[in-house]
Amino acid sequence: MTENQKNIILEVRDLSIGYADKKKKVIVKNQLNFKANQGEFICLLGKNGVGKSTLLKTLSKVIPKLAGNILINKNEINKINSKLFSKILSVVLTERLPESNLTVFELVALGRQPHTNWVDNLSVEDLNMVNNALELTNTVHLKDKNIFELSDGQLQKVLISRALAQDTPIIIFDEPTAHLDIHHKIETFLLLKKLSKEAQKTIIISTHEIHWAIELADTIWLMTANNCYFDSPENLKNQERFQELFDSLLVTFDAQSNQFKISVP
Amino acid sequence: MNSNNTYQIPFVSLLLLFIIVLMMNLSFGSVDIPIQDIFDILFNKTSSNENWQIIITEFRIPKAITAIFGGSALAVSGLLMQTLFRNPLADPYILGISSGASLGIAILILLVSIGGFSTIFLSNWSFIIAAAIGASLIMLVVLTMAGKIKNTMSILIIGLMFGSFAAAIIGIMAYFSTANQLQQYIAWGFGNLGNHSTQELWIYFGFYIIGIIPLLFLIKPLNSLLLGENYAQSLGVNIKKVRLSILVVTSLLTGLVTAFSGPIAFVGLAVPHLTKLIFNTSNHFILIPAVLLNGAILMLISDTIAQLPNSEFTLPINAITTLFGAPIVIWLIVRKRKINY
Repeated sequence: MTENQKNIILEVRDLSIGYADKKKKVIVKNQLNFKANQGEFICLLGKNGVGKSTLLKTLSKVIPKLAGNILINKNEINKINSKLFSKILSVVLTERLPESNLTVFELVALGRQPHTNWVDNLSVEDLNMVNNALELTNTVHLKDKNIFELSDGQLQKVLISRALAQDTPIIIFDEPTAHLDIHHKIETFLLLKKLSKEAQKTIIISTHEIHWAIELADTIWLMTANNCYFDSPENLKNQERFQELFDSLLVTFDAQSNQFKISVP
Repeated sequence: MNSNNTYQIPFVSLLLLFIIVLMMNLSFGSVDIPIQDIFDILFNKTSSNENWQIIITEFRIPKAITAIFGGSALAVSGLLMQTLFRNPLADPYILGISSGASLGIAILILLVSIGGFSTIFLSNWSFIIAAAIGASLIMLVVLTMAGKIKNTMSILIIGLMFGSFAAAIIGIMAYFSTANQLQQYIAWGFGNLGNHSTQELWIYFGFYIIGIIPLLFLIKPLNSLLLGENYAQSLGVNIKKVRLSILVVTSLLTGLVTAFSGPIAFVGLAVPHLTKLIFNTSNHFILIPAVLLNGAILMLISDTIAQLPNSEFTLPINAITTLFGAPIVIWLIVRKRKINY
């Protein structure tokens, strides 16, 4: 077994994703095959409606897969019970939190639920994990604030802390930079990159920040209308795959700047 | 989440307040009985006045027990509904349970008068059973549907629809009723804590415990629901199972109180808010015991006021809970300028 194979945490074989009910099946994408390693920073790119959220929801067991296999640590995810699964994979969602009196500390501590006893009592280890998670995102000073006193940028960091406190090898983010200004977007990207390396987390994010994804991601999952590519940014660039992101002739990809250019007719 | 010592002071104060209002509740009424005699009757089973002993043991203690059960059960049901539906206006009756019970009562009154049965059928027991059947039927329909529906908000709407549906049927029945029937129905709707025998209270107690015990196992999932259902699921919570457990507990407790005491308003809506304002937390490990305690306290105070100390009159409990509870909630909200659920 080579070193590389040892670190494979997620393996997907012939996966079909989409939505199904009793009457019909809508297949969004099929025949997906890819792998993810421990400590890998992965950016999922694709235009709206192409199936990014469907893929992430399928990987995090929010919706069932239609066919194929998803293996985490060589175990089929359907065979992992939800308690155990919550110790393997955590999520950071785009949806707004419901109103409550939660403080930052309490919110992050909720990440410990899969590890705590039935009355949610925090052990010394739990407290250490919570404080450690707050330190990693530089949010210790916010600890006692109500979560509704936070700015969007602060809240995003606190939600990342919550996922860190859950202490899972894989963390999935659904558009973590969507509501943020450019400063916080870069900060979030760098933080996630840092966490993937320092804490050896496999971090999967969906994003529209294509140029930063190309610069910072270890691997890019690129979803276009007709195809899906799972490769390093360099390879995808060399194969001119980014051009396929937009089928319009008005937008062209400039490999020099990693940016899309608008060509006004 | 963690419990810590900051909550000890409010809890001890509430416990003291509970004991004080309980004593006041036993002491005040058409006849004032000194606290000293109440202690004698409670602990030594003797009293300087035989009548007082009868009043305390036969009337006031059963009534106080009914108030404690009813207030705490409704308050905690309201908390569960507000957390589950993430809605500050949710109350225990939002699933149509009181309308179901009311329909049961309306049908009972109508059947008794049409069938020419003697009014003996309008006893305590028949009222309890009719209300329980009505509440259970609505509860079964809503729960069956809840098992099939993915979206929690749809359950809320279905509950409201069934409530309106039952109310409409009652409306039609009321339209064709005699003044006497209407009066009986309205009297039931005012709510009543008294007139329960020891046997009835034991049955009440049994079901009450069955409803309260599952709360212990709901603390953790309720806390995770504070983040919304998707996050809760990612924390390992089985949403469908938890949702059904919450609905079953709420239906049982609310149906139980409605069957024994009528549709008592306001407690289930207001007490969770009051408690969150006092304790300033969303942690259900703290909230559940605090809400139980506050519900009992509010109900005991309301009942004491309803007795109109030193008079023969009794006011409807339903009016008092709202009349004196609403200003307290408004005052607290204005003072703290925020309310969360």
